[in-house]
Amino acid sequence: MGANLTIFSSAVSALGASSLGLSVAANNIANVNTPGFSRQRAILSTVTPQRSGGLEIGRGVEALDVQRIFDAFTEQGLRDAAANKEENDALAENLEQVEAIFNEVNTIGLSQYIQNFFNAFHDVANNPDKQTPRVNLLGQADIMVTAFDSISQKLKDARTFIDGGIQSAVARINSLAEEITDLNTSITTAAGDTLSLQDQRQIRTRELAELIDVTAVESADGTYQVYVAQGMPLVTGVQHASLSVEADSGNGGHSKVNFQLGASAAATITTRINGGTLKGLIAARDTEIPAYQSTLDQLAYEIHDEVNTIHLTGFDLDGNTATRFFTLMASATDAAANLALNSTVNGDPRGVAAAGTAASLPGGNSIALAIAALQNTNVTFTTGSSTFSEFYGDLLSTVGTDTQSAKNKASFSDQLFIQAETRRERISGVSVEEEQLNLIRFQSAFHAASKLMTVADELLRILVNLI
Amino acid sequence: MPITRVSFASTQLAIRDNIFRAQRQYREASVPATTGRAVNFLSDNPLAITRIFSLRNQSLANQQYQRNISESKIRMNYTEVQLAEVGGVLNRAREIILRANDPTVSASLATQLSTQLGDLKTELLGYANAKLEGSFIFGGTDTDTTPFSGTPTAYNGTTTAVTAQVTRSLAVQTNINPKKYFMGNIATAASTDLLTNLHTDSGGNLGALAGDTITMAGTVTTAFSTTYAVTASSTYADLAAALQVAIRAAGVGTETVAVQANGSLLVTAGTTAITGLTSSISGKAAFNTALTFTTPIAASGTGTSAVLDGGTGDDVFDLFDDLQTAVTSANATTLETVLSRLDSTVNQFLDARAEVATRTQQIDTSEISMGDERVRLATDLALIEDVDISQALSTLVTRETALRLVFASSSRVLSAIGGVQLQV
Repeated sequence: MGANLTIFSSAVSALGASSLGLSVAANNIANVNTPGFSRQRAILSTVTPQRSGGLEIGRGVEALDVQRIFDAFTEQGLRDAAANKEENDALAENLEQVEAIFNEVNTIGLSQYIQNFFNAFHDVANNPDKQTPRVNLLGQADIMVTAFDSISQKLKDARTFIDGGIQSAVARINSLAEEITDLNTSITTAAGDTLSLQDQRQIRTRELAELIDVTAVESADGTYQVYVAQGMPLVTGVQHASLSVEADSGNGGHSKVNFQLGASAAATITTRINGGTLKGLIAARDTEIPAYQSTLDQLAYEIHDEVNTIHLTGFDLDGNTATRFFTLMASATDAAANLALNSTVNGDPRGVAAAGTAASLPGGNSIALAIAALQNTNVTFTTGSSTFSEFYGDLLSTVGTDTQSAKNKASFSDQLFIQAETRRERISGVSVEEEQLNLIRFQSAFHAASKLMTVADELLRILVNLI
Repeated sequence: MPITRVSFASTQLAIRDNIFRAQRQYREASVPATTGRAVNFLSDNPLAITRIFSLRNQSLANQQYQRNISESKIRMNYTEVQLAEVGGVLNRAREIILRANDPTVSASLATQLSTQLGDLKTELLGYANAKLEGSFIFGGTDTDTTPFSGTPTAYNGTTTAVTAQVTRSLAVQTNINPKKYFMGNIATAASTDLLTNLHTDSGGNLGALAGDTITMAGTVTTAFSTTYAVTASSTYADLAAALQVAIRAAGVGTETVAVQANGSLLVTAGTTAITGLTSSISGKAAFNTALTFTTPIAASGTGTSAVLDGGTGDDVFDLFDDLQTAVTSANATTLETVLSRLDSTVNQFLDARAEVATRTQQIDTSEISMGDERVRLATDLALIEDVDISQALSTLVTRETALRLVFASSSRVLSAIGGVQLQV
């Protein structure tokens, strides 16, 4: 009799376990395309057997738990890979835009405008007493000045545009921090299943990692402690800090990123950020683009300085001397934007000093020849000595090199991210084939269990009929 | 966890990555095939970028040098034409002199010949004052002022060389020294220090007083020392003329003394340099209060000239004056003398044309060199910039095939997965 009842209980437990297995498999299959879903597994165990008359009689199976298949180490690796990928993508994308500003491979650009400017002095030297070459010179000078200003302004606009990206990223970070905190709260207070909540928290943490470098640690109470920017505590259990952006007067008014925890003073973490889109944007805005700007400014300043030095010693058609060709600039700071024709020549071709002495007017051309020769003259820059054309060519090459390097890094980190994601999927991803096998397995078990129920019922009926 | 476990998402991930990679490679192959250029962006080949822009700038510079050459040749050719015309004038003058050197020539004929010489001088002056595109070509850098004018004909321009950069390393002078060839001397150092204290008033009257003595001394072929006694009616022109006579007597006969605007005397040498030139004024007892002076006149003043270059030729305008005088003189010896000077002057202008020809040849050589360089630059640039079209198209086809294969294989894999699902 007792054995019959045991069979019954075993059958019932088997039906339950099989149903649970089928349910878990069905849930896995249903969520095969859910981003960030970690497959689940029913944990089954043998019920403690009953001892009777020296015999051990099994009492079936019990479902201990539905387990989420997840590896924290692999997940952190995936977050790191995501941060690296997004950082390189952001940098590459912005450098491609900067490359477009400088790209004159298939068009006419500043390189030719500079050459045309100095060539125009040759034309003046050929006919220094004529108006036409002087008018042409001023025209070429104006084109060159405009090109310098245009490139300078586009670089500044690029930095301003990046500021907008930084502000958007910070806003999203704060939003994600709040969501993670809410999920921490829900997980700790939930009476039932928290597996799906854990998945959602995982997805948000991964999205956070795309924006900023993240380290996430799960505490004993099941909450996540999330650290950003090399150890700043963004989420601590059920509380979170916040990031903000503020104009930095020491960086031309561009945004700096501040971290604030509770009522404590805000700390600037711009340079602490070590990964994610934010780092890529900050690197482009504060390192790469300013370097190009500085080089461009240096070129503009040296052109203005060298030309003016010679022009000051020359005589224009009206016998005036000691006049500048370009408006005087005190330093190279913002020189590309400030380069301008001096009032003595602007609109007055006769103001161009082509002659070396008053006595050689109007046909003297030594000054015009000397200025034209500047295009072949080595000038001292901060990086060394080179001609204007070589210096600008080096700048273009640098932009190309940096962009190529960033694109290569982005491609490589993309591959690393795919590998990390594949590793994660190998552990936590749903294999449809595997779940189909599980369906078959648990379906067969359910069928067998139901058969067992029928047998147990038949045996019981026989016993009852015997009474 | 078995290393072989493959999830549905990882399969899709791999398929997506393969498709993206194939698409990217196809796009990268399509750009050079459609543009014909190997380098379309700075990041395509940063090392080549420096070289590309260096070659382009050299090409632009080359084009400019060719324009400079063209401008220079126009100027030089025009100069040569004018000098050739001057040579023609001199040859016609020679014929007139030969005609005049005939004892049977009557006085009236001599007068006609003299008149013809005068016409030739006017024609010569026209060539000396020739303009190219509105600028005088024989005025040095003073292209606005008529180079030769006045009686006697004086040079009003400069002797400054005008150069053009015809290659990166070669600058060629595109003008000649008009004073050297038309006036026959260089006078590289003017004695402008002489008698700087001898100012004129606003009316041009000599600032020295009657009774003052102006002394000038020096050595040409022989030493000379001359004095000029200032009278109440003396002028600078008188002073200059008297000194000139004295210097010419001791020299080669082509020396000049002229008055400068600031009151100083300009002494220029002939074919022999003047050394040790000095001048002084003495005997001044008081200022001439009847005249107004810009600055007070010192009691005495001296000036020493530098050694003046002897010059290489003859003043062609002065020569024509002498030719006219010689023709009407009917003096055979005089005619022989001026004929000799005329022959020397013909050579003088042949030298000028030779100088122009030499420089023109330099420019022509540079033009050929620049032409060769233009071809080299274009070739070098093409080697870097231009893509091998056949190779580019081949690569494009290969990439396109690879893309199609990726799509086909991906479709099969997805179908297989879907097929398994359908069979559940």
